[in-house]
Amino acid sequence: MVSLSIVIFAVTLIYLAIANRPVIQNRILGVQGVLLFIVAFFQIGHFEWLHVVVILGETILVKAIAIPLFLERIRRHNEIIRTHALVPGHISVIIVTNIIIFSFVLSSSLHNDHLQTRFFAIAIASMLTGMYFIVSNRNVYAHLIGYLVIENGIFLLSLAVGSEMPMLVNMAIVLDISFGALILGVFINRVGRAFNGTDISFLSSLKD
Amino acid sequence: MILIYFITALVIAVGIYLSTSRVLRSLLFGGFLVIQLVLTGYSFSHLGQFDALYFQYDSLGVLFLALLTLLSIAVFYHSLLYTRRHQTLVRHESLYFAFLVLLIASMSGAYFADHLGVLWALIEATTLSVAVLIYHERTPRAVEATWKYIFLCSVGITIAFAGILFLAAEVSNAGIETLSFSAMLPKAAQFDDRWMKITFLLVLTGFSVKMGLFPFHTASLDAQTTAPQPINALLSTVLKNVGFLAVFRIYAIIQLTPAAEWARHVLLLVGIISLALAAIQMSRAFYLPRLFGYSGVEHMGLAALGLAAGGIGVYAAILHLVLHALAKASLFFQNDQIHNHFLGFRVNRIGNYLKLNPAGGVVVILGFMSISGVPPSGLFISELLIFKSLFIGGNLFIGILALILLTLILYYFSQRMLHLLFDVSDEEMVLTEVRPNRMETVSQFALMGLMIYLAFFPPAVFTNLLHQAAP
Repeated sequence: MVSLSIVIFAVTLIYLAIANRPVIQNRILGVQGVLLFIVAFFQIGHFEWLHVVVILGETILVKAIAIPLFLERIRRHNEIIRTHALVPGHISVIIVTNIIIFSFVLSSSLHNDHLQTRFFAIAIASMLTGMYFIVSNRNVYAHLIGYLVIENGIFLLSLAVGSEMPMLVNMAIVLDISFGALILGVFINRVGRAFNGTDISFLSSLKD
Repeated sequence: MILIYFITALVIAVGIYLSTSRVLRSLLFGGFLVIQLVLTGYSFSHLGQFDALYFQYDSLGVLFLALLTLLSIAVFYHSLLYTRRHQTLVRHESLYFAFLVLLIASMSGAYFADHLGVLWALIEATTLSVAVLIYHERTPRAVEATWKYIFLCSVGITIAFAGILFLAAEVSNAGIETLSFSAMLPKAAQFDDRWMKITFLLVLTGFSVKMGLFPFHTASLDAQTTAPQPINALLSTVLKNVGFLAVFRIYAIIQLTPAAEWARHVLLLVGIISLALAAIQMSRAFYLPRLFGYSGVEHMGLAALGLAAGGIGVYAAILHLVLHALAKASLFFQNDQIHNHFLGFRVNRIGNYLKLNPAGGVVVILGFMSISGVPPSGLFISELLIFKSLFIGGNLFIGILALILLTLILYYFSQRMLHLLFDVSDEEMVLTEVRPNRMETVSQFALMGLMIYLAFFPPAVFTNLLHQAAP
């Protein structure tokens, strides 16, 4: 089940590379949220209600439901139909596929007793794809999507290294990330209102 | 104590946000400053002790907190002047002061965070609170600056978090169950150098967004272009110190591992690239806040060089950050007065400031001399020590290159400052009806006087804290 989820997660990254409609991008983020829950749930060695509730809240509630719904509202508010990519779709597919292959090669070359290489590979792939998505798109909305894909990669990386932060610290981190996404979303609306569009070419007035 | 501080700060911030009366807001903020002073005194008297599980009052934290508390008082005074001068809605003013409280509280917490996860969360909290302050003027330029700042900071801090996770893997390997600095330091020698290299690279890249170093140095530059000047005084000084502190803490761990020499070279490289970028950008920068922003990149680059040089260099780097904060904050406070006399900040179009506002002009002269490291500036002492440590450490090439770059920076900076002070201004840029207020410069003279005093006649308590912070 975990391996299947990881494979599907990799497919969502490739799909994201060719998706230039925000509606699809939101759905991909939602699917990734569900996959993260499955992976995290099966990672728990012993069943603990509190742990499950926290994971459920972080993945399903925040990543799979709240954020995609919030993004959809922003998309409608700013009437974003497409995010214009700088790189053609078929080239992006090749690049993202290479990123995934590179990530698996990299993870197999690392040796650490506590490292789960299958999570590690997809975590690195997700972070790199998120970064690629940011630099290959000219829309602030797509940049937020890219940032959230990086965040999903970070979630997988924490599973890969088996890092367990204290509950309080973990909740502070989740809260920070959620607020960050919320404020970024709010500012997309502000950008849309101030410049009548969300293309980054509008954001070039700050000069030396 | 620190939990009481956080809860009180949160309650005061909510109170300020809800208040519509300027008097009540000022009283509440005054109350917060009292709590801030209490925390400063408490942390100093409880040096080395732990608080609320995840915090420890160490010398570097106490030093930076004392600096933050001092600047917070000046920022409050100049914020009152700023809000009076730039008539804005009461609601926006309430938001400004409420988030100023949150920013100061999150920075104070970050100085003492002993757990890496807590440090990360508090640094992210500084990003979110300062974003509202950068947006204060609500112009399209403010929207652009805020978006760029939050986005770059979020990405940068996420990269730093990846570094923290790599460290967590290595910490687990060494049998440590927490990411507490005090727990990691004794066992750091067991950490694998390859993992530590990845950790340091990611953490340095990520936190460079806060420290204002290459490669994410542009984030704070854009923010400084539009943020209110009292906020710039924090953004370019004590907030950068938060970034330095995060890098410093990780660097202290890495120094005990076989990757120490490698990390030292990375820090030297980042420092010199930051200096080079500051010199290149200053050659074409005419917008005053951005000019000061590039100067910030230069000084953070110097601090990185001092840290990498080791020995007396670490002492000099911390001293440099303290003195730089005092001088740079004074200049940003003065910036608001400059803006009061002209229609903009373009130094190639504004001039004759010394005649228009003599007291303010003297502040600019002193500030320019201070941040350029010209005696009697305290930064002369810290820069001298940094270069001494570089040359003693055998970093001859880096030292000479840094000196050449500093000469270039001094040339461009003095060119702009002399134009502002003595040259002819475009007539349409001058606001003739403005009457300068000498009292506004008192705090700026006081901060610069303190900077000279701390460098040339340092009190024992100050040097003791510095020595303990840089063992």
